[in-house]
Amino acid sequence: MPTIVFLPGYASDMAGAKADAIGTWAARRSQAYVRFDYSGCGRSEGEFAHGTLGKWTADADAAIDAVAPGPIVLVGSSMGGWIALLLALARPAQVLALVGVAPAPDFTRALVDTLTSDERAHLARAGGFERPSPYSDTPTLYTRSFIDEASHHLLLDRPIAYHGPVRLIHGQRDPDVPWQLSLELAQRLASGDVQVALVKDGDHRLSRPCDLALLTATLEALLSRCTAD
Amino acid sequence: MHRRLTLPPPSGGGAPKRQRGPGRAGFLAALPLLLAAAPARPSEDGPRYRECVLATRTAPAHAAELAAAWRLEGGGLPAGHCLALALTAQGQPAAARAELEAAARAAEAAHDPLTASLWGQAGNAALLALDPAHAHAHLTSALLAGTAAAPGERAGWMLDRARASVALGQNAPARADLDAALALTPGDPLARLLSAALANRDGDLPRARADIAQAQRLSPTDPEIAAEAARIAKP
Repeated sequence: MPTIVFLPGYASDMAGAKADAIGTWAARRSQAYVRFDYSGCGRSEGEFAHGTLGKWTADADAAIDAVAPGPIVLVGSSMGGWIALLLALARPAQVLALVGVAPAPDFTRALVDTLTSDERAHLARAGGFERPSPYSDTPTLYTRSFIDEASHHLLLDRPIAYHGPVRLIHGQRDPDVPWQLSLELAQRLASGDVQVALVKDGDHRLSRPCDLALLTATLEALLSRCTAD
Repeated sequence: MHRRLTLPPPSGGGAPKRQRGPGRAGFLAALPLLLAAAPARPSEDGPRYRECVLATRTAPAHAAELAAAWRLEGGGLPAGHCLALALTAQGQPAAARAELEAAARAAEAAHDPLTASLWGQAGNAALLALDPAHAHAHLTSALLAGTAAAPGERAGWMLDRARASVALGQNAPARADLDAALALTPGDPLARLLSAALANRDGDLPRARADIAQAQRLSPTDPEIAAEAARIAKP
């Protein structure tokens, strides 16, 4: 049986509702499950401001090597979906399947396009800017080094050569990552086994009980498919 | 233990595929992509090396920049190794070979236990670069430096040196290397396949038939082996 690996989103951590829900579900079916925090996030040491997509992908790669060296199914939330795709490209034989929850590959591109003049000035002068977060009391920091480094990992400008099953779940009331991005991602993926579930009244977090039930049901179906093959 | 990393094909796409077998155009046409064996010490298999190696698979040009910058900062062996992986991923095996040769020489001077593995990778890169003379020299260095290496690793260098020898028109030393490799790893279908192909070239049909039959037993679904079996069976 593969191990499920949860990849949190930007400035998020492994203690969120989705990570917890997968934990409960995994424990009930004795399913191996790994969650972790990127450096500078949650309970991991390091400076959040020093984080880059490349570093956090390497963190995930190290965690997988350390505790889940066998077959894995990646579940990526928001930016974690981007990291999941990078890992799937880097270790295609090991990544049996991939689930994206409001996946946000290339999200820095939209971020840069929507910068206010104030944010742009901060980015140039101070190397970063903060935006109020609807999900936290503290604002979210975006650094120039993160945005610059992420530009080397953009995926949506070409076919994505992953051939395993992919399930994408996206809320159509997602104010942060438009649901159309999941359709674009589905189109870019080389795999023929790609399914997109759109939740009409779903937000970015997709953490209501009905959303979490959809997530675990998706995993359940995927796993029975993986073991049937 | 060495953490082995296999590279995706330079064109990208699909699972990393170990190309092999003599193929249509002879021993040098299709080659194993074995550039691997990350530096083993904790200080060298650190987060920066990991980040760089990951990038060689998804963003090789970025990886080459990371490695080059890191080397300027004194990144040493792991930086040079990542640069070689990045160059290979970008379809520049000749440049990768030069990097790996430099890394192997530096390792040798420092009596580093990775010396033999780096020579072996330099030889493999030379084969990819269609440079059998360098390949032969580097693989000989690997075999000399790595007398205590694992049998599978030594056999791999012998198989690669056999390919180099055949490309240089020297079938007799190639036969010696293949026989030595078979003695170390008798159950390796690739060694049997290469042995069968060389025997066929040398006109030793009984040997070719015996080896290819053994290869088919060891790996019944391998298309390269099936293709060579068909060539040998041809009247």
